[in-house]
Amino acid sequence: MIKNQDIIIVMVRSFIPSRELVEGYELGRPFKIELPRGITLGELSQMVLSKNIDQLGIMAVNGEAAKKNLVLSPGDKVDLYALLDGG
Amino acid sequence: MNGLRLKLFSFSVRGELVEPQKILLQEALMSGGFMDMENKTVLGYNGRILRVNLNERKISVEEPPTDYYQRYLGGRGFIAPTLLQEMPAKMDPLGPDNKLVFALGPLTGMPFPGSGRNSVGAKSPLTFAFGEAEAGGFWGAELKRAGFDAIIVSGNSNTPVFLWIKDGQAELRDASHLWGTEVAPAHLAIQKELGDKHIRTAIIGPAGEKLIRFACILNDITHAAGRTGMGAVMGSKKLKAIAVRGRNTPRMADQKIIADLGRWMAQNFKEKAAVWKYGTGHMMEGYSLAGNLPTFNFQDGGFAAVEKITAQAVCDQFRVEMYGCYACPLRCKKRVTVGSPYFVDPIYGGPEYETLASFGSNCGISDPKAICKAHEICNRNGIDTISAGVTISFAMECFEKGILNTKDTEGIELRFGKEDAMLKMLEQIVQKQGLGALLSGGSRLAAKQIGRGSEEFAIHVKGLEVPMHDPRLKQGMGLHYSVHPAGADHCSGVHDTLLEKGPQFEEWAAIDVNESIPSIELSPRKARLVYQFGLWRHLPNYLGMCVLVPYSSKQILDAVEAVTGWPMSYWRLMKTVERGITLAKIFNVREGFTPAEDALPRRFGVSQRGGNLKGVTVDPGKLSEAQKLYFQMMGWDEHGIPTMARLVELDITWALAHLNFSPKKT
Repeated sequence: MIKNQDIIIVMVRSFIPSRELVEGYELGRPFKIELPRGITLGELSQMVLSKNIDQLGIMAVNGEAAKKNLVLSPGDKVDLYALLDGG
Repeated sequence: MNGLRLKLFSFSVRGELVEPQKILLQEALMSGGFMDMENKTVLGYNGRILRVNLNERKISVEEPPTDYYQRYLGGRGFIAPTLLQEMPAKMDPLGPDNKLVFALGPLTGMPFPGSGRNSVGAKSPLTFAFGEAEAGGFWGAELKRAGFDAIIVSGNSNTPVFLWIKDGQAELRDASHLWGTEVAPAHLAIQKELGDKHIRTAIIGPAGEKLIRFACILNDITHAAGRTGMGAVMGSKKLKAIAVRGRNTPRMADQKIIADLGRWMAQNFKEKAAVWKYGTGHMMEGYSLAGNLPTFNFQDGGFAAVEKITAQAVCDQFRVEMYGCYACPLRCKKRVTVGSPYFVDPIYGGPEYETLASFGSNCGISDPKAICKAHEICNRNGIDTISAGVTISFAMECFEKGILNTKDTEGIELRFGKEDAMLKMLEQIVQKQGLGALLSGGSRLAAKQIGRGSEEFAIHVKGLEVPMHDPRLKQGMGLHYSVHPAGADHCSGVHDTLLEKGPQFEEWAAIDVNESIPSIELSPRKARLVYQFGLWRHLPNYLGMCVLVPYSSKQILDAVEAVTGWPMSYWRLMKTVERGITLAKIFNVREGFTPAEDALPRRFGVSQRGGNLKGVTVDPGKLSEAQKLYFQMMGWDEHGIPTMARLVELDITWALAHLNFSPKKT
């Protein structure tokens, strides 16, 4: 049984198209997601991006660049950017 | 075949006087069977190039042999041999000897997404080197349907004219009433005059008429062939516009493959690309975080107020609609409108990434309304947003460091972050008034005239202002900027960050690109990447394709085969690109360019002042070594001159005649 204290809520914004249905997901828009406590940034990005994980470039938590082994905290704001291309 | 030997196509010319301007009207009437595509052997092309001599007001048509198409493909590939063979060395780029070439690729106008592109080339009045630019929209596809693969404009007209092409017929018409008119009203006036609202135009604004050195040419009001000042060349010829209407797409070898590609893209683009949502500029916060967002005239790579100027911010506040190019479902262009205080007219589209950054972060501007207005001023008058933004950021740094003062600027406090000052200076540039007259020559010429150390703040390569990708993060892009014959061109460069990892390696293995290399690395293997992958990155500009439409390399290969019917390979396509780059290089060598001009601004040898990239620079020694290796891989000697071996390999020994000395023997 999952208890409330085992769940954290973070805001995720992804600039990579999500192949799987992720509730609330919209390209480039923040959405709320409930996650098990202790989850890392790498695990979250895998969950959100699924097979498109290969498109992942830089990641940020609360506006700062972050690495995939970072353990997320309640209320974190996560940004997942695609590999930087042209424009 | 050696070189560009074109067979003159027989045609009849009819002359008549147009009242009341007494302009000689000449019309090339195609002889029988022009629209009979069944007889065409060069599939995907029309087999015809239109020549317009403005000195003599003559129009003619040439029918190149199949070999010409196979050898040069199209787009940039058509431009280089034309400029090299047909123009004298060291001529005035704004004089009658310059030729302005509009060129389509084999895929231009074919009915599938991404095929709406055309190239424009001439000797650049901004760089005095090989000049070229590409644009999207519908004009290129319309020209393909109108029966031509390219237009070569020579001479200068005494009075303003526009060229009208319809279903294989062409005529010059008086444009005196359009001269001085801004881009949108001129476009609409041409449609009204000719009685067809579906007419497409490639057009210049007042900036091109005033010979502003970074004036551009706009397809259908908003799609800019922005770089290297092609609009000024068009203005020097007093050619206001080329209006086009056509109804016949050339036959292709396998229509089903093209239709299948179109269906595939329609079903998959939302999963493969993100630009459809907000256009380019949707990831500016990521750019800023990584140090790739030019800020304060490239002193920094991150901008504190970036979230205010992203594509999302612009879309959320000012977007009217998204729109696109010929046959493309991505619709990555945004149209914006802004009310008080700037009143931005939506007919001029909206800012994309390069514009958001060049007038935004790079000028320290965080007001998206001002950026939208700057974009509108540029399209309304017809100037390149990159060169305009970077030239203004240059002047801002000069002002902040005391090299310019309010006497120079007529009272304008030209500091970073001052949006009204930025807009006033932009207006001065398009009017060629005050300091704007000096800046209208671009940052290099302005710095040369201002002196007093201002050269350090002019961020250009060969006179072409650096686009919004920082070479300190994308070190391969920096190498590409430095060696590209046209100067700092981002459209054909390698974005190192894409190659740090990713699924692309699986498909790019076909072109032998399969190694993950850190973006900040500048090394022999990075030089190889810039050479090898660079040839592929150039290819869309030879084919008439858009780089933003996410086809795989195999799909591109399939498309070329399906359209032309020629057996094709990656090697063959890349060798064609190498041929084009080499001819452009020879053009520059003939103009007197040496490796000394293959230099990056010294700014990139200095660290950004903060952010994640602090401490990272472009090492001059590593850059020099990488350039030498790139030269060797391209088959150029230490002076940048293509070797005999490479000319033989590429089967362009005819180009020897355009080198005033024998190339180094290998």
